[in-house]
Amino acid sequence: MNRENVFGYPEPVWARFEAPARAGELMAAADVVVVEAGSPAARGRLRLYAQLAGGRVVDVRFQAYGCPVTIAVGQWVAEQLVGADPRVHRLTAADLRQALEITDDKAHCALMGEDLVLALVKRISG
Amino acid sequence: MAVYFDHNATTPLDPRVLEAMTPYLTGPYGNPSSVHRFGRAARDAIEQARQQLADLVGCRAAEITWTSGGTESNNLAIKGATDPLAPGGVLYGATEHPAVMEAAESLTRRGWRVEPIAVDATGIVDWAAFERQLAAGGVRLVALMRANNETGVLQDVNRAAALGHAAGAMLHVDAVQAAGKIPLDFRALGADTMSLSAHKLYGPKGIGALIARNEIELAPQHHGGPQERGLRGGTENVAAIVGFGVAAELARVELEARAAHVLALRDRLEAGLAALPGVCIFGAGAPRLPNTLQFALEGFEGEALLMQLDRRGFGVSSGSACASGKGEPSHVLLAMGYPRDIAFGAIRVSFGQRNREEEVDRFLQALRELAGQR
Amino acid sequence: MTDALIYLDYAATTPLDPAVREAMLPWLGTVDGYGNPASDHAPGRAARAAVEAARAEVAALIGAAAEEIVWTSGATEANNLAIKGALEFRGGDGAHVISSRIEHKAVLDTCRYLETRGVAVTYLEPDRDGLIRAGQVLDALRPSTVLVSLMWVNNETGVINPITELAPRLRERGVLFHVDAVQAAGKLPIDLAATPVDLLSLSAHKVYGPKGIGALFVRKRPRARLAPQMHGGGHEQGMRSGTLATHQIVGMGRAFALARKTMAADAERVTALRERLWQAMSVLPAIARNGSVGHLAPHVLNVSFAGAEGESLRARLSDLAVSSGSACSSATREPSYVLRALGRDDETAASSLRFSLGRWTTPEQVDRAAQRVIDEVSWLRQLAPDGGAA
Ligand SMILES: Cc1ncc(COP(=O)(O)O)c(C=O)c1O
Ligand SMILES: Cc1ncc(COP(=O)(O)O)c(C=O)c1O
Repeated sequence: MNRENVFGYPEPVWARFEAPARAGELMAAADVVVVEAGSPAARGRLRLYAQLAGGRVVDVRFQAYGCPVTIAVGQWVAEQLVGADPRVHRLTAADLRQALEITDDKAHCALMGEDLVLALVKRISG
Repeated sequence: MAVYFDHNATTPLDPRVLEAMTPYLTGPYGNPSSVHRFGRAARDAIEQARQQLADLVGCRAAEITWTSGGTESNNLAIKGATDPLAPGGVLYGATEHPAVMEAAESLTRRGWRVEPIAVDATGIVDWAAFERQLAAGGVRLVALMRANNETGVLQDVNRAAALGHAAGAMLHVDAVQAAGKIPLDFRALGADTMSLSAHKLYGPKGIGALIARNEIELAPQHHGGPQERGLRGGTENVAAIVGFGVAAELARVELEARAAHVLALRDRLEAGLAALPGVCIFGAGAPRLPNTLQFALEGFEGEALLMQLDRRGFGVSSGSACASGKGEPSHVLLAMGYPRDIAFGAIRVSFGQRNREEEVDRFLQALRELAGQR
Repeated sequence: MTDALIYLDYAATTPLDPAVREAMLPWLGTVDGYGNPASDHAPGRAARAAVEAARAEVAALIGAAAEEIVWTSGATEANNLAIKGALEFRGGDGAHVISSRIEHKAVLDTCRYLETRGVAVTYLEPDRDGLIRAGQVLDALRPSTVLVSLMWVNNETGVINPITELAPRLRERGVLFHVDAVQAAGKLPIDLAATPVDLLSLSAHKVYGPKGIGALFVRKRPRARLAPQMHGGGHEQGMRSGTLATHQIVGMGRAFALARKTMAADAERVTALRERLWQAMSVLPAIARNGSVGHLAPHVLNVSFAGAEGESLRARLSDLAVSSGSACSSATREPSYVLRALGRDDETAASSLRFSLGRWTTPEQVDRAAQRVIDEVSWLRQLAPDGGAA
């Protein structure tokens, strides 16, 4: 398979889009929360499954519908959350944009990632 | 062996240009506006050519719009620049190429006042008359060619730019014949728009360019498609663009040597002609392109002379290689004040890189024989 | 790497046929064959003869006379010349033009321009299958209608419009008929001797000819009159000035001559491959074919893949040269205006791909392409919340 980054996505985006770790879902359980961000209207949707223990994320999966940047954002958020307490380790759109080298025309994708984290924080703080 | 002395009509392709074009006539290169890989390669090649051309003519790559040739460039410049404006005045040199003259004249139907600028007997703009036309007010566009295709006479477009700009007019320069023959610097000329064509400088036919300063608002003339920033729709002619780029690069590198080569031939011809009775060299008193010489032999009708030269294997022309105007004397020579019968006798010789002294001598010999038969 | 790329974008442009290239090379002359066809000497005459031979070949494919062919730099210019030229000749003010929502940008943008110059334009809506019916056109006629401009075959869906049915009806009513036949030439039989179209646009690079050359058919009897749009020199009977690009023209001539020979066989083969592609992809649930299957040119297959977001789908299919919407420079794009006109929502239009097949498409390529599409659509759907069902 010769999948090539012909459209010139930033390298951190492309790597995650090509082979996103932590894609999928976690089985429903008492300690698993599910949060979402985005909307079909924005042509992007992120869903996060997080298994919690004492406010920390011990396991996490994500699902994404949208452009490659959206998918990479979902992947990055999932990756960053492992072992972290999202209330303390606050991930912002700015962090996302920097880490994934997201360009201005895709800024909304980074915001969707931030929304996802906020949704999770809200659920935990509950 | 035929002798080709008609390089102002068109030039052979430089073998190095053909070589550069060949991959684009062979590979499955896509529509450059398409997104897939082939399309990207084509787009990169187009942008490289843009830079090569920019380097030849002293403009920025972003100021270049590809067209199908000098004719389209002139049409785009003149109609495109006037479309967004309320009708006013347009002036064009009386010896301009028909593409400029007729594009300008077409504006009369849109309410524009269109006038030629007179030239003197050597083909140079009559500056006093030009200044009077500008002083009358309302002139928005002036079109003046850098080098004339028939006589080779060079205009001081710098001066026209200064005068025009002071009067609030833009300047369009048809540099189709100048490019590759004399140094050309878009910025230094002070032009607002400038036309170029590849097939006059050993590039392919069917590709040209319009240079336009960023500040100049141009209305597209080929609507449809995002190509050339929406200014000129149509799938790009990739092979020809690549060819134009390489031809421009070669012209830049070899400009001096080329000019010296053809100038030596022209001087030889001019010296030889002086020995013939009743020779008139057009534009002789003006600065001219190094490769061009237009003349008449007294008592000869040009068409007949051309036919006889053609039979002897000499490819020359009377003036422009145009589809119209057959049987009409050159408007350039008429504008310079020559009577119709002299204008009818005109022969244009335009040299190129492969011409040799020996060919000039054979040509002179043929003329002497024909003059003797008279 | 490149050899792995499967080219299924023949409707965007075709590779040059080697025979076309061979025909062009003598006219890309470094020693010979460089004359200006307008010149009156031996090199000029040789070039002129080649240009005229090519004119006859182009005319022959469409049942026209050679002198009815005007060379242009492509179909974009041909469409501009036809529409603006006709309106300018007749005087645009108060005139009415009928076109459709699914025309190529070269027609749409030209019509939009005319609207700024006082011309009224009706843009007909296709049905959900992409078809414009003849009755629709006739119903839209007004006393002030001077021109109908309709494409023969749509470049995104491949749907064939009822040009042969419509042409005589418009002729009866004295309305000029322009047809953008870029995607029809060489794909379907065109006989302008029997079909009273007045103006017809052609492009070489969709028919295995070179880019940057096209033609406008301008009927002689009854004469379709145009105001020239490119002035100077008076080439092409005064309708289109500019030095003729001999090699380009010769290439188009050869390409059209080849098309005349191979059209019937090509059509059969390409249609079979197209159906093979569709069949192979049909194992995917929730996909839909766009365009009326009963009225398709051989070479186009347009499919919507619900639940697989378009930009990601294109990015993952970088080894397939396919299109979505009209050509554009990044993966991010407006959803196709043609599919929107067929009533698809933005989301569906955006997750649609146009596959277009041609002379060198093989069954193996088709099978491999289908498998790649199946894999990536499935992958994206699996990654999406609820399998992509929004
Ligand atoms: C001065 C001048 N301008 C414009 C043109 C037209 O250029 P093209 O032949 O590329 O249309 C020519 C040549 O024919 C020319 O000599
Ligand atoms: C239907 C249709 N019309 C016009 C064009 C424009 O043709 P060209 O690329 O020759 O300008 C195209 C192709 O891009 C097309 O598909």
